[in-house]
Amino acid sequence: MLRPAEEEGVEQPGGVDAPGGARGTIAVRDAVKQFEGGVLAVDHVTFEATDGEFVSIVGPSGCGKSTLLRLIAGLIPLTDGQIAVNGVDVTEPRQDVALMFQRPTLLPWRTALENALLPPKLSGKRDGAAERRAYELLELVGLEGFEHTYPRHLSGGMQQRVALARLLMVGVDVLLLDEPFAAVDQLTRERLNFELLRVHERMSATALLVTHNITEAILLADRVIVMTPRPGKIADVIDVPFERPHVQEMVAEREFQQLVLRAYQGLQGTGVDDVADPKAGAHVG
Amino acid sequence: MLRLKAVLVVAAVALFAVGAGCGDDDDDGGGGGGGSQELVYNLPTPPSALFYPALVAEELGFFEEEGVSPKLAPAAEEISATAFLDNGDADVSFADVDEIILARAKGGEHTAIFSPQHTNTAGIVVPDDSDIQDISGVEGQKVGLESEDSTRFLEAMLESEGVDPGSVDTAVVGTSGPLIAKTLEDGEIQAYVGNASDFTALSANGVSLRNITPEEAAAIDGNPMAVLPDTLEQKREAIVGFLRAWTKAQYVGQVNREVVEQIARKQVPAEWRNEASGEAALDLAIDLMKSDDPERIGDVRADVWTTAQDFLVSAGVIEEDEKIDINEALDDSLIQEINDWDREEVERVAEEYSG
Amino acid sequence: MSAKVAHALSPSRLARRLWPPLLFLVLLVGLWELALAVDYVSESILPHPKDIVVSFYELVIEESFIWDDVAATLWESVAGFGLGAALGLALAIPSGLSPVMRQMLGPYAVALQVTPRIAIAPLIIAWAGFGYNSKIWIAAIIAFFPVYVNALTGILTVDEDAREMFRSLGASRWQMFTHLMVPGSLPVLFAGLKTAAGLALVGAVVGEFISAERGLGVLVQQFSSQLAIADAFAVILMLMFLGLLLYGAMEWLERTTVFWLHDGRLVARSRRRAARARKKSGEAPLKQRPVGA
Repeated sequence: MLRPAEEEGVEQPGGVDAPGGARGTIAVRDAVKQFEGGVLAVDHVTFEATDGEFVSIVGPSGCGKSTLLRLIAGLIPLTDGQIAVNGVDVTEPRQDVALMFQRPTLLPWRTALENALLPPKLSGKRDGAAERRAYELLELVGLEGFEHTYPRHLSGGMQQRVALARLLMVGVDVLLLDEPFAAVDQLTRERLNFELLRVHERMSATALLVTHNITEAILLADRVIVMTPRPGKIADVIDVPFERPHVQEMVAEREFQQLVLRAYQGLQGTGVDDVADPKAGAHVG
Repeated sequence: MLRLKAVLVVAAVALFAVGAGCGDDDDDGGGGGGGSQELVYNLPTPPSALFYPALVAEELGFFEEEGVSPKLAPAAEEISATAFLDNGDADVSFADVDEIILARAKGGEHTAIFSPQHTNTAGIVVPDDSDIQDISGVEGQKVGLESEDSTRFLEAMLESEGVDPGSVDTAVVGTSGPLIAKTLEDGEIQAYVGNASDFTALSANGVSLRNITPEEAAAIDGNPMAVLPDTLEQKREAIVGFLRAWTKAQYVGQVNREVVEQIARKQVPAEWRNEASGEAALDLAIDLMKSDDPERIGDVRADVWTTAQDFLVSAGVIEEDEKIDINEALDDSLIQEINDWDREEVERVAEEYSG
Repeated sequence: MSAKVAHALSPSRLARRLWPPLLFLVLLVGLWELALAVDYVSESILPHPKDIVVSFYELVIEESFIWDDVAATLWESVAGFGLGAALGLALAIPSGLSPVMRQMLGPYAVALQVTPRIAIAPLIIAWAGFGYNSKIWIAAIIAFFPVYVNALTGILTVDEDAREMFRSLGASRWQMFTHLMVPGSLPVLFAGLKTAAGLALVGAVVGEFISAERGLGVLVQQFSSQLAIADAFAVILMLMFLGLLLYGAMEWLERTTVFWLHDGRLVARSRRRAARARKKSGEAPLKQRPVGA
């Protein structure tokens, strides 16, 4: 399923330099989130991601990583601290940030094409150019021939691909992904991960991906942020030295396994819940 | 896109329906050419042979002759007919004697100006083979009722004949013919208080009944016509015209049954599915409308109204000191005018129709 | 297209769809005759099925007056349904979007539902007159509640994830309403509409009992009072057919509008769109890939 990195004829998503900040920057400073009822989900988290990086956030269930992502997305308000995207403070959902969730959340009354065209439709820019782009993106994610199929007739993996195409319709510099492929089977998941990487390369956007699978986190990223169980703090930040493009075979390397171990130790912090077994994601050979 | 179409369809239907619900009523064929006056009259039934004068007057052109285009406003018996007069929904209303008395007792000004039925439509019956000969025989027995309202009529009848109402058990049986027949047959009830129409229907279908309604009670008018004084003043001409046409038609029924049957079969075919019932119902209707004095059809008679009021008092519906002045409740000033037409001419018109 | 219709009406297909209800009917008639035979119920209260069928035939084919009544009751039902549904929707939308409105209207909607119609009949007649309108309003009142409740439920139970997705795309409240809430609540709404269609018919008949010159409710009363019981049941049979007709119409409308719950419709739509798209781009129509991957 891997195709050559350069594709011709597909427009690159937008990305003018944001005023007062470099393209695709996420800056989180001392972020704190406490819910009503006293639950402290995020406890003074600080990190940065810049131009074109792929950063994974890995942590056990309930550690606040999804909450952190939602804070950056502007879906929930900060209790304390600062979060800025592209140099602008985050107060509400933004047009320059694209989100992808576990559930593809396609509208069942729209075809794959029409679902992909939802962003331009909402922003009033659904024209011929947008439609052409949608066709191209669907082809890019491997759904050629299914443009006019309805979600009911698409498998979970295919639906996520439509969601991915929808994501790419929005010309952005920042991608936030919350365990986007958690709901599909292992094999499909691996395939989708690599498609994601391929797409990311072409887009040169900054991506932040949340997962509880350590192998996946390291495999996809340039940098891995390891979080402790709740309340979420950063336990460790691991640089991934492997060259792009990453390939499945990397997992067998000793260096890779050392990173996995390091991450695993970081997670131990105070009692580990259901972090995926570090060896589970490894397919040797 | 299809969604948009569906939404438009639904919206169109809804708007149309709202328009229909609020729009002008054009339900009945209230004829009326230019120049004829409209009058809304309320009956306790849909068009029926029971009130044959309405059908006959229409068919033989009497309404037209009198320059009236009447509009029927039917409403079930349970609905207060006097209320329609109060609301102005109807100009005149064929109500119950009781209803009118009660309305006046509460301060209303409803007046009875015409009463076509000089016999009561309500009564009490027993199976033909019953031992009970008259109403005194009902003491200690169980009596079926048409509805809860029938209780006071039963009590009044019992009191008037010196029977203690407390000795009688009652049960509401309703108006379903087969059910009445069954409960009488099985001996679950020994007598039934209800409507004359139900009695005749049962009789016509093989259930022999004997009417033991006391004379006094049987003489009370069935459905007198009530009107408010203001309306009478404003629409006097139309009301008189309406009643003249009505009395002509009522007279036709008394002298030419055939024509009335012809018209009834034509206008209300549904009532003739059971031939025996249809015939019996027509006979009953004509019988009920037999006038005490043929020259004064529809006369209002003070003595039977007084009896009716006494009945209400003895049944405890109104107190002795709440009684109204019967003479004020009745107005027979129109009766003569209403009856002032050529009987022979009317007979001729009827014969021409059937011929 | 005609091939599709021909397929739907093919004898084998029809037979397959009809035999279950027919079998049930046979069983029902069997039990019925049995009950009459052992005198469990009297013939004068429940006629033989055969007598009912004969009456039905006579009324429908030989006499013709029943059609005026059918037309009257049908009109009252349809108009009443339309009115009640329109009101239900009109009140459900603000209730769904505003908790204050919901609390304000809720108790009254319930009160309206449980009030016996005969109690408020004089009010309705005073307001709507003696003609068709009073029947239409009574039917509307009865049809109102299921539509109100279902539309409200549909709006309140919108997919939270979808709502979040819309928010993340910067959708306005109006867009959220038209593009998410409205289509998302259609399945539940149609369940309510189907219920309301049948209830509107009941309401029209109840209205006729209260005050009417013609209609199937009037006919039932006329036949009952003269002890033409088989005829009365024949009218009830006719009412049953009308009910099925109204329900069927709603089902058809649902299949068209809420197409995404029906596989066949989805496949048809996919095909049509693909063909249209190819035509637009000037290429020969290409089949969409078979579904499922």
